[in-house]
Amino acid sequence: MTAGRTFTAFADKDPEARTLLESLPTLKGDIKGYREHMRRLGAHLAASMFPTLKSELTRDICVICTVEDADFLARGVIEELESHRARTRMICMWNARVKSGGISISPVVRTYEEVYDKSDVVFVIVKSIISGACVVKTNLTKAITTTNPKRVFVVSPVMLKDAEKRLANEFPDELAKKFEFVHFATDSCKSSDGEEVIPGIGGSVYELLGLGDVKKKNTYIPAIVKERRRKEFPQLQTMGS
Amino acid sequence: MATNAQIKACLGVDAARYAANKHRGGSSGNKGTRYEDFFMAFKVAEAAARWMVGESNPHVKGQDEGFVDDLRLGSDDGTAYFQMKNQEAVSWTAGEHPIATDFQYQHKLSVFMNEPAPSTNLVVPAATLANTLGESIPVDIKSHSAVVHFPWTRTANKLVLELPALREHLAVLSHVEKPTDDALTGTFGALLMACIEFPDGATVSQLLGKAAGLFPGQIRLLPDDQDWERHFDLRFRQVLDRIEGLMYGASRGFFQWTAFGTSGVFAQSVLSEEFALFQNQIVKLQPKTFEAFEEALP
Repeated sequence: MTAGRTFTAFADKDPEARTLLESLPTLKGDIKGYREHMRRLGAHLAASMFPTLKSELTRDICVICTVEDADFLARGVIEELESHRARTRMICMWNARVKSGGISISPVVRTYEEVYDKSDVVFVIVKSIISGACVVKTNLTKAITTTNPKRVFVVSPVMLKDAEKRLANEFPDELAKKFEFVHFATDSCKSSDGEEVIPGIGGSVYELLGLGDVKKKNTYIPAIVKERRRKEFPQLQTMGS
Repeated sequence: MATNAQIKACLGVDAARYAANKHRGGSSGNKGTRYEDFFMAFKVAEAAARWMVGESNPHVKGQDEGFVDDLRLGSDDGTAYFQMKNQEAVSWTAGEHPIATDFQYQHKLSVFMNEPAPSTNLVVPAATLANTLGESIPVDIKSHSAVVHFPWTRTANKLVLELPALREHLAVLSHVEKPTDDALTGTFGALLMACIEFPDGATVSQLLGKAAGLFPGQIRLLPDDQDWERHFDLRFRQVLDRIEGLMYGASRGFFQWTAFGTSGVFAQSVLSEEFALFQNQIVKLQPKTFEAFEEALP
């Protein structure tokens, strides 16, 4: 047991997920291994969520993720859901970060969004770690501009203590009461600069995944976005040929 | 804005001492998250949206010295003072220093200072409380006082999602033509940041300028009737026009594009050096497809 960490009932039911999570901090420098662990954690999160999600298979299941999580954690979630014949849709967002005077915002500078049934959709918002919930808040805020989802799953391997409450405070009660959290561990410690959850996922996810820093990661175009976009828009495959 | 010496000259030693103590007390809490901060940014958004259509450019200051001190908006058209009371129960007359007396003192001081059309305003978080207080404004302050309902939410995001008037102002100021809800909260966040950067106050245009300087940009370029696409390099346009499926524009001074379910907005305005470099890069690389264009984005 790591100091400041509590495992959830989802982790208790899934010892492999717990092992995967605990080994993340040991994978510093092993980009391939870290990416694969994240993908597998995504699959385990989807498997944990599935018993409560399986009644929704007639609806679009829209997975919302960030650019850094798309090819790894989110891919794991999507592939596991699709293995259960879920009709997945995807929204991927590229977030920048602005911090000033103690205020922090995470503007979306780019979005890939597949068409989904806006009147009948379940949102699954995926994030490698939820701490201040700034990015999750922003991305969900963008997604609800035109949509009132039936259910909202908030899915992450690790959440900082009280992140559920912080996220709920960001939204009208009508939406916040739809939140269903699926995570394997709750951590209660942060680094002295307040930037990192300890042990969390072992550090800065962009760097651990080999995507560079907060600016560089936004130049990354996830393979899953390219794959899915080419299926959505077959004409992309023949362009430039 | 009064100095303590002016307060003393107008209202006497005791009133000046009380004003100084009140100013020192202020409101505590994390800056940027208080009821006072949200209201100030709301008033800045409102004033900025009006300024854009030719109205005045007021000076805005939080925690001003005086008797109604949470917020002051001053211009040639008028001087509005706001007292914030984020409470369930508020009285005009209760306590050692009743709100009504503060309002009376503030008005007297403002007149003494020759400020144009001074008004005093009480801001409370509940509509019913605002109505009750509005119906019971004491006679001696009624001519210059009003009650404002401004909801309290724990977070700025929730406030933006729930307050239509604020959304309307932010939509005018946003760097994109049809802002999604996250863009509205980004604009509001930028205004909040700007307000904190000017503890001694600033004009609305200065605050807007500060907010517009953030990266990535969240505030439109001005003037609003400008054709920003004329800042596109012709060669840049020619390359983009040949890319199948790509649509683009810069209606509010920021380059925006959309194609194949993908959309984005360039982080800096079309007047920035970074955008000039990006245009050069596109001209140099000559992307033929959307995917090639996407690879060239910084």
